Amino acid sequence: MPLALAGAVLATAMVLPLAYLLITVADSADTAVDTVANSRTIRLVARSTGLALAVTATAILIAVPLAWLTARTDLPGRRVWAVAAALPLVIPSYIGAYAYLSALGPAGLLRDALQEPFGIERLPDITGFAGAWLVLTLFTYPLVFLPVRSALRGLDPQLEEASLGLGRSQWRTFRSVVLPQLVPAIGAGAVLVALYTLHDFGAVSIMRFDSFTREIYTLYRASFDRTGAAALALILVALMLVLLWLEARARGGFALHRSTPGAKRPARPIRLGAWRVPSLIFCALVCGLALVLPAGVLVYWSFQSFAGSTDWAGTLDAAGSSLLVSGLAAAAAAVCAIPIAILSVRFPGRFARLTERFSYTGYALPGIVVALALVFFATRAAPAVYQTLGLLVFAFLVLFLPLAIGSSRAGLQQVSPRVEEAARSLGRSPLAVVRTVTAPLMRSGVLAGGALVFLTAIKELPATLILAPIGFQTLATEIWNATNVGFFERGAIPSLVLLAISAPSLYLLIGRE
Amino acid sequence: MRSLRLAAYALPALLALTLAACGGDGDDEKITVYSGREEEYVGPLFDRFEEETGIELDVRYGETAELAATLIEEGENSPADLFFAQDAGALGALEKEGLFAPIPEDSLSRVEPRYRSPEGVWVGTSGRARVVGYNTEELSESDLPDSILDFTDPEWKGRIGWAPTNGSFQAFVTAMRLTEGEEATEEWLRGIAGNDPVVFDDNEAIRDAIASGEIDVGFLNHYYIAEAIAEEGPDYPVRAYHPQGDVGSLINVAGIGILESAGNAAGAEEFTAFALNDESQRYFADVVKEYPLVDGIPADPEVTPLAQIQQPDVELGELDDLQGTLELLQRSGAL
Amino acid sequence: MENGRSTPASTPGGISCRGLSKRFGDVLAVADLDLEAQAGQITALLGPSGCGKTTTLRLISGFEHPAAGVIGLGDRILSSNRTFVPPERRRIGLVFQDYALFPHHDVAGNVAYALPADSPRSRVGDLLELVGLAGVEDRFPHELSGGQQQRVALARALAAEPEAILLDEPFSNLDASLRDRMRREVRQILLESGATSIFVTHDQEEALSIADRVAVMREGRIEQVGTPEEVYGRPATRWVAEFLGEAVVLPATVGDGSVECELGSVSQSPGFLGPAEVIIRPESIAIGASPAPGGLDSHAGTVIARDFYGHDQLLHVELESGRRIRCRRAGFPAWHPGDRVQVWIEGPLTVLRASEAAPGRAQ
Repeated sequence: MPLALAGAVLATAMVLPLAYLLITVADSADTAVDTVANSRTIRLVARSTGLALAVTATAILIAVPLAWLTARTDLPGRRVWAVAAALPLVIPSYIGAYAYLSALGPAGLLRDALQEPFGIERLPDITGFAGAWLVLTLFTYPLVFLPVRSALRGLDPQLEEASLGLGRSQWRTFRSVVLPQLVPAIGAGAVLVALYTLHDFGAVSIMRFDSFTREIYTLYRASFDRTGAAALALILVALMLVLLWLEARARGGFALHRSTPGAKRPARPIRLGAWRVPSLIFCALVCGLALVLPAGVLVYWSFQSFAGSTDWAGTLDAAGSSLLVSGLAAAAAAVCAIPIAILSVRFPGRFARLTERFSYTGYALPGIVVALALVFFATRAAPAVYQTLGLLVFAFLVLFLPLAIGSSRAGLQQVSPRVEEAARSLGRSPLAVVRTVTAPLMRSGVLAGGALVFLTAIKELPATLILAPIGFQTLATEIWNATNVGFFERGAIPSLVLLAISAPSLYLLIGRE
Repeated sequence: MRSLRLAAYALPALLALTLAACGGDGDDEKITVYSGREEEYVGPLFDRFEEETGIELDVRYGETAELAATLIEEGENSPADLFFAQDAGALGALEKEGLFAPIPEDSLSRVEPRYRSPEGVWVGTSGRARVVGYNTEELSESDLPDSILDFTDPEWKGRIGWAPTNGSFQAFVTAMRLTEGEEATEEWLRGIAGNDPVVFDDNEAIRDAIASGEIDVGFLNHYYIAEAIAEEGPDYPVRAYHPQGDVGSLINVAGIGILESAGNAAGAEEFTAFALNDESQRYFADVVKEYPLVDGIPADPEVTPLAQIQQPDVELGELDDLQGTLELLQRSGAL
Repeated sequence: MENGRSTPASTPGGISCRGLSKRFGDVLAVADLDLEAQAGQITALLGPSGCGKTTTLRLISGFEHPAAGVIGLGDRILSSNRTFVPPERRRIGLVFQDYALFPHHDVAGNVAYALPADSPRSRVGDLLELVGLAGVEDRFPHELSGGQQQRVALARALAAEPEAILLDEPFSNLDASLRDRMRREVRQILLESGATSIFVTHDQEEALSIADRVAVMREGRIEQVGTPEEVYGRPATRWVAEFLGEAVVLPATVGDGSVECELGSVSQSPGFLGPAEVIIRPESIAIGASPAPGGLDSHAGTVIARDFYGHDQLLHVELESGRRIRCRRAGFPAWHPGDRVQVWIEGPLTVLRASEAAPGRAQ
């Protein structure tokens, strides 16, 4: 069956990093055991897990109301808010963290502003857990926001109307009818936030939070210790499996497609009434913290730095390359997420479960580990594609496919299998049914997934540095070029360009709904 | 949905095109360089080489350690001809993996033996000194102790900045283990950690914190200060101090190794010679503010001449054993 | 292939299922089922919910794989232990209980989706006219009423020119007044299409009024197949009798050429002797103020309750033995509780061996 074949091929591709880790560790198992088996490992796992839980919980608390407001209410300018709320995802975490540090740090811009009038010499230190928590929450909550918003748009309004008809208040209706149906989307997003937090290096290193992934990087950077790094990375894979197991349990076994007869009507926006102003304030607050503040710092830097001497042509070229490669990655991920989502929703079983879970491997690991895994396999098995654009897109697929799976699956869960069967009985082959019925009906979820991949891939750095064709400059490598020599200010302009080119792409996606 | 369908068709086509475009890479003239050194610093050097020799360079920039790991994974299939590394530790690691070919004698002999591999498989191209940076508005050189070992004194409580995760710092600790022994190093680390140092992620941050007065002294590399002085002018409130004769004055090098698997070894050798010629060495001294390693080329006037720095006796290629250093850093609570 | 307006099917074949079984975990949903649906006719698959009728439909349409058995359509084998024709190649149209219209296509798009590649576009209009929906081509499913969605689903199924059409509880989501009209119309459309049709229902009235043949299903098996008149008038088991309508069951004894029960002796030879039960429909029990004319055996009783329906009335009569029976009569003349009456058998009855009439569940 072509679906199972596609699933198997994809799953194989997705477990390449895991295979690499196992090969590397098996090479010198003793060293690996030494690296892993000490109290520091346990402490780091605990620290990183704690951070991941805190970030995930906060991200859900921010993202769900934001998604509801922009998807289901008459909030003024809700499309613009939706784009603005999703945009913080494109800010690379190290840039965001640095912007925060330079704005709110002990000797930051805020201190400078307060120093004269109030004589404040030092602000409280935001580095460490608090800073990492704040920054990671603000730059990852869109991973929950986008899938939840698309799920909200796919909900059957009849259920809500039924609940309201039973005399339940709007809030109780949300809690008892809407929220349970959002569980798959929230769960999918939460897993992504948690895994992002676990594999992130930029924010924790700038916020000086001693995390598990920082340790992996240290092993590479300080001692060229691939075995130790691989052994630690395997622990991340184990954490990933635990998270996915938890998520699957939370998701439960419900069927979420409509059971009511007849076709679905689009929902009518809910009137906010007196809640309009508080809602606007909430949106403004989140967007202000997650987008306006870092963007403001970037603008400030770009004036500080060499705006005049900026190599605009080079930046423009890089912008084109970024759009190309992340666009291709998003399209590839959207296409590949469809069979995996179908396997997981329509043919649940051990095969589908394994396929889906192991697809997350690439996303659970730091980019450098995935990049090295692909170096290992490509130079041995496919030297012809090594360091080509094709391999880079493939690397992005391995890294980011899970971003598309969750919301595609959530999208598919809202499609009744009867509709697909109707198409089969009308003489269409299973593949044709996927193309003409399933995929179009999953569209909202698939597009949200593609958007997540796009926004995440556009800032990808470690794999790009190693796997891109030589001389292939993206905005992320431009930013790295500038910040690597110590001038964060010079990274401001490519960072702003990153935001600037992501916004219309996002608007296009959200506008299409 | 149309866009999805389009992508489904366009993607394989694009992959095929990319493959076809890369299939015909038979240009022997090109040299493929993996550069762990930033484009900002070595890009102009590469450009001049291309102009002078007409040989094209394909440069992949990246972090030194990541590129070293990449070269190890690539093994003999590596497309690289030459590795331009930020520090000697990475070169030593690749030397141990047996990935380097010998450097021609006339290039090797341009550089003092202490700045190159004893086996002759990598060679330093420029040097950088570990220094103690200090805020000139708070301190003068005479306030600073003779040895870096003395910063454990409680007088420095809360006034030191360091970056225990930084590669240069860790190379320095490795060197200290070699010169002072494990116990003394651990004691020193515990002493500093007990002095409530402010922890930074990299050298720039330390320098900026010294300049802003957040800290009074910090352990970093000399050229960060020299660069800032060149940019901000002589009033910049940070200067470098070299504790004489101890590991606090370690000189590490950036250098070059030629891959055993190089497709264009001749070109790589030519570039190595180029990087060590007088003009390139002067470039490192004047523009990058690093120490030239070839006799007769003076360092930047703003930095302490190499001859005036009493260096510790350390084999740079040995600075790749950082596992022990990490354990030590962890044990002493620095990490 | 004919291209007449109302005959999309090519020469239709009948559907036959032999020894069909399907198991879900420990539950045997379909158990060694035999079913014949005659070519061009409408067959109802009637049974209580959970009896396996929808599963049977899904087996025939190819969405479930049978554990055993053979399914044929005309002279093609659709499913056996060696072959399995996938749903899209069975040429069997399906109309789902929830219609399963494509929400991303308008009405015309839904129908056009099903058209064979070489069909002229005008077929869409023809089909919509056939189902009485001309003029709503560019509406989307969510803008249609239930009855309209139902018609679109039917037009879509017909558009694929299937040899057979299966309908799963097609009228259960419609309100009562619409349901009666749709039943007649759908029957007409199906007959005109010439396709072999099977529809699943739990509503005996619906089965009897639409189908040419009714297959009564119980616990994964077919209990009885026949014309509506046969299954209603001559139920094969007491269970069928009670499922298909109201039944008066009386203990009886079969003698030589006659059957004796409390309402008298009826001359009939069921082919066995000894203890039996007779099943009589209430409308086969006549009631009068005086004994039956023509020498029929009649028995005295008292009316104890009356349900009046306008066109008819259901009378609850207690016989002298204390047994209560029901009889259905025209709405006039009116009888009242307390009236002393005579009752007698005035229509067909079914005689079953006592063992065959194992206690079943009346509806």
